[in-house]
Amino acid sequence: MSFEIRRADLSALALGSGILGTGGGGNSYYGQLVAGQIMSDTSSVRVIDVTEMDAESYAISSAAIGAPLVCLEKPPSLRALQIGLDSVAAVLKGRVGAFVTAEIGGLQCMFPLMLAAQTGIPLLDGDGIGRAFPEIQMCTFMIYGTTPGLPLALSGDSGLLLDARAHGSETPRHDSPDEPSGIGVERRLRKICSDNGGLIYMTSTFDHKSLVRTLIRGTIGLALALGRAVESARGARKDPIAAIVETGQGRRFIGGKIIDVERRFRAGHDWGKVLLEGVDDDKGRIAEIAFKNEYLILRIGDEVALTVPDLITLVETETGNPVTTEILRPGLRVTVVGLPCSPLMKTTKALKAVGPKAFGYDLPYIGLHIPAQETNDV
Amino acid sequence: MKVVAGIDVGGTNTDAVLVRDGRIVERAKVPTTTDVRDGILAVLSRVKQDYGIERVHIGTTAFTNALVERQNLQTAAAIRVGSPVSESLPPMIDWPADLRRATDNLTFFVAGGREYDGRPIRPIDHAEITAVARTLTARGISQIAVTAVFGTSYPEDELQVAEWLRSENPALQVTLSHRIGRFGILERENATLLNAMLRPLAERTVAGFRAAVPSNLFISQNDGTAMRAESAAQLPIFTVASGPTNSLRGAGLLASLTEAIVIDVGGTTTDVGVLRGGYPQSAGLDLSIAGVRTNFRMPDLCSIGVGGGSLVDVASGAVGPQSVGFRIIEEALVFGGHQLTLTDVAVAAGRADIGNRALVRHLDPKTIARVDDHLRVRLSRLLENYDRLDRQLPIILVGGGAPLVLPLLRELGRQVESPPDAAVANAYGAAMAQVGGEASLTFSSSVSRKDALAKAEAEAHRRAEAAGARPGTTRTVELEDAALTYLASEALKVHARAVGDIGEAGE
Repeated sequence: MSFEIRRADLSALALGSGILGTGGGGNSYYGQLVAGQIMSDTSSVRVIDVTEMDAESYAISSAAIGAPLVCLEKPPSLRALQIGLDSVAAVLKGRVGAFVTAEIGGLQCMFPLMLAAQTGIPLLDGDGIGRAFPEIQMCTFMIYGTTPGLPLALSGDSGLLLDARAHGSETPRHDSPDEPSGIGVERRLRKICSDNGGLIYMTSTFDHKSLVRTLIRGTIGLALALGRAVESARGARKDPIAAIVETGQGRRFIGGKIIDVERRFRAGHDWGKVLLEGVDDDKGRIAEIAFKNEYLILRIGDEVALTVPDLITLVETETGNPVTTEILRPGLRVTVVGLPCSPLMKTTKALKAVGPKAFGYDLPYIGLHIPAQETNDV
Repeated sequence: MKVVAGIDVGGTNTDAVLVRDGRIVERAKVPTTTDVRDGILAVLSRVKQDYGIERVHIGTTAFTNALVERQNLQTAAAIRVGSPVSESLPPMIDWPADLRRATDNLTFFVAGGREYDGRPIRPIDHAEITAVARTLTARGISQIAVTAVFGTSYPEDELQVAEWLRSENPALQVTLSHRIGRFGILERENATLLNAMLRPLAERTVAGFRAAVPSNLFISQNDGTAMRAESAAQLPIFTVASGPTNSLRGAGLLASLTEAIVIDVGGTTTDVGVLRGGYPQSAGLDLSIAGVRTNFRMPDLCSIGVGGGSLVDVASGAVGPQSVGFRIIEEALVFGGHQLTLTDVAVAAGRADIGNRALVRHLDPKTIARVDDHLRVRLSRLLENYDRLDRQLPIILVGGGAPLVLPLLRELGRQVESPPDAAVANAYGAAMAQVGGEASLTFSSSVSRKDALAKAEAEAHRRAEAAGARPGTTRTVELEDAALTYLASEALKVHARAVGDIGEAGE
C-alpha cells in the first residue's frame, strides 16, 4: 500500500493539492520549491497507510499557521520546522513513526513532506480535512477529540515560541463548554501568530490509535493522482476536467467565464462571491459560488447545488489549474467541479463544525449527487 | 507645429509616426539597423522636415530579445535582506538551467528586512554590507539586486543597504526590489535580478537613442505608459512587455474605442487582447519572462493557431495550427506553391486579392463553406471569453490577415472596426503614452480601509507626477486591496496605479 514521492512528483502533488484546496490553502509553489531543494534527484519520501505505522510510535504534524499572503514574503522555513520537530521529538524520546499533514488542500501538505524528506521518516497517506478549511477546529483530529495534539511546539523564523519540553504532555484547558472543541485554541494561536510576524509553525503529536480513528485516509495518493491525471491529460491534449472528474469520482457542474467578483475582508477572512456565466454546452446557465477563503456554496440558477463540506473546486477550463479565491477576476474561463468529502466529515458531529451553518449560511448540507451514467444509444 | 514622434523599434522594421493633437500626420518605415541610432535618424528624417518635434517616444524589444536569447546579459549579485527568513528559498531557485549558467550570478543572505507589521526581523548591519561590497569589488561584479523581506511595504532597509554598498564602492550599480515588483519575494527578486543583468545593455541602448534624440526622449513601458530615457537606462525590465501593450492601446486609440476586443491576425497566429478603459486588461495568473517567473502585470493575450499562412485540411475544413509562416510567398497556391492555406481560401472566396486568383479557381465551394464553418466556431468561442451577459464588446481588427476574417466576424453580428493606420498601431500607441506611478503598500489595523486606500492612491499620484505627469491630469487606473487574512489584527495590502499626461516641459 505504500508508495514513493520523488522530486519529479512534486509538481503533480502541488497541482492535486491545489485542486483539493477548493480555492484556499495558500499557494504551494514556494513549498514545492523548498521541498525540491531538500530532495535530491535520487531520494524519495515513503508514503504509508496508517495501518503500516508502528503502533507504539507517534505521528508528527507540522503545519503553518498564518496569513497566506505573508507566506509570499516569508517562504516556508525548513529551519523553523526543524526546531519544532526537535522540541517535540525530545519529549517523545525519539518515538516518531511518521509525519502527517493536517490539511491536504494547498500548501500545508508540503511541510510534513519536507521533514519526511529531511529525516527519512515516512509520511502518512492521509490528512485531517481532505480538502482545505480555514480554522483548526475544522479538522477531524479536533472534531473527534484528538486535541490538542500534545506534546506540541510552536516555532518561527526567530526560534521556538512554545517549547514542548516545557509543558510535556500535560493538557492545558482552552475551551469553554459551549464552543465546539478547538475554537479557543484557534483564537490563542491567532494572537501568537499575529504577534510573531504573521506566520508560525505548529508541530503537534498524534498517537497511532487516534489516527486510525480520525485520519482521512488516502488523500496524499489522491492529490498525487489528480495532479498526474491533469498533467497527462495536458500532455495528450485531452480534457483535464474529465481527468479530474474521473480521478476524483466527482461531477462537473458548469463551465463558464467569471463575470463578477464581489469580496470584502472581515474578521481575518476573505469573504465574497463569484458569478459565473455558462459557455459552450452550459450557455444560458448562471452559477454563483460563495466563499470564505474557500468555496463553500454553489448555486446554479436559483438552486443550491452543492455545499460544504463537499468540495467545490474551480479550475481553469483550458489547463485544469486550480483557481484560488485570490486570483478570481472577470474574464477568467473556469469549470466548477464537485468532489466528495470524506464520510468522516458528514457525521452530525462533523457537520456542526464544517457544515454550511458553521460558516454562517442558513442552509442544510447539500451533498454531491453523481447522476447515473447517461446511456448513449445513438 | 509641435508634434510627438512615436517610434517602434522592432526586430525587423522601425516604424515611426508623427502625432499632432492625437492625429497621425506622418508615417514612415525603415529596416531596423544594428546601430539603432541609424534607423531612428533615418525614420525621423523621413517624417520630420516640416515639424518641430516636442517629444520622442520609443518602444523597443531590445531587452526582451536579450533575455529570450540570453545575449548581452551582465553577471549580477542577488542580496537577500532578511536572514534567516527565506533562506530555504534561495535566489534563482526556479530559473531555467541555461539562464543560470549564462549568468553565473552570486547570492548573499544578510540581516535585515521587516515583518508584515513593520517590526525589524533583525537590524541591518553596516559591517556585513561593507564586507559584501568588498567581495563584489574583488570579484569584479558591479550589478547588484537587493531584495528585502516585506521590502515593498517597508523600503527603508533596501535604501540603506544601497547607500552602504555605494559608500564602499561608488561604481556598484544597485537595483532595489521595491522599485521593481510587488508582493511575492521570489517573483519580485527574479525581476530585480533580470533588471540588474540588463542594465549595462540598457545604458548602451539608451545612449544610442540619445545620440539620435538628445532631449525630450521617453521610452515605452509594459503598462502602456512611458518613462524618461534616463529612467529606462536604470529600469529596462519595465519595457519587456511594451510591444503588445503599445499595439493594443494604439489600435484602441486609432478606432476611438476604450472598451474593445483587439484581434491581430498574423501569418501564423491570431492574437486577441482586451481594452478596458483604454488600457490592456492584464493577465491574472503568474507570468514568466524568458522562462523566469515574475509578478508583472502583462497584457492578457490569447493566441489561436489561425493566420494567413495556416494550412487548411480539405476534408474537415480545419485551419492550423501548422502554418507556412513567412514562406507563404513560395508555398501558398496563389503564389504558385502546393500548400492550401487560409489565404488561398480567402482569395477563392473573393475576400482578398492576393497573388494569382486563377490558381485557386478549382477550389470546391464546399471546401470554402467548411472552412468558414470551422472559423466561425473558433472565432465565436474566442470572443465568448470576453463578452459579458449584457453586451458584446466591439472588435478592432488589425494585422496583415485582417481581411481574411472580417466578413466572418460581421456575419456573426459583431461590430468590427478596421482602422486604416492599423499597421502602425504600435508606433502610434508609443506616441500616445501617458506617464504613470504605482504604489504597493501594507497598512496595519490601526489605519482604516478608507484611509489606507486614500494613502496608496495619493502615493501613486505623487509617483506619477515625479515621473513627469502634469499635476492635475493624473487619475487612478488601478486600486486594489487584499487583507492579510487569518491575522487577528487586520493588516491590509493596497495597490494603486495612477496615470497622467506628460508635462509640457518634458525632461
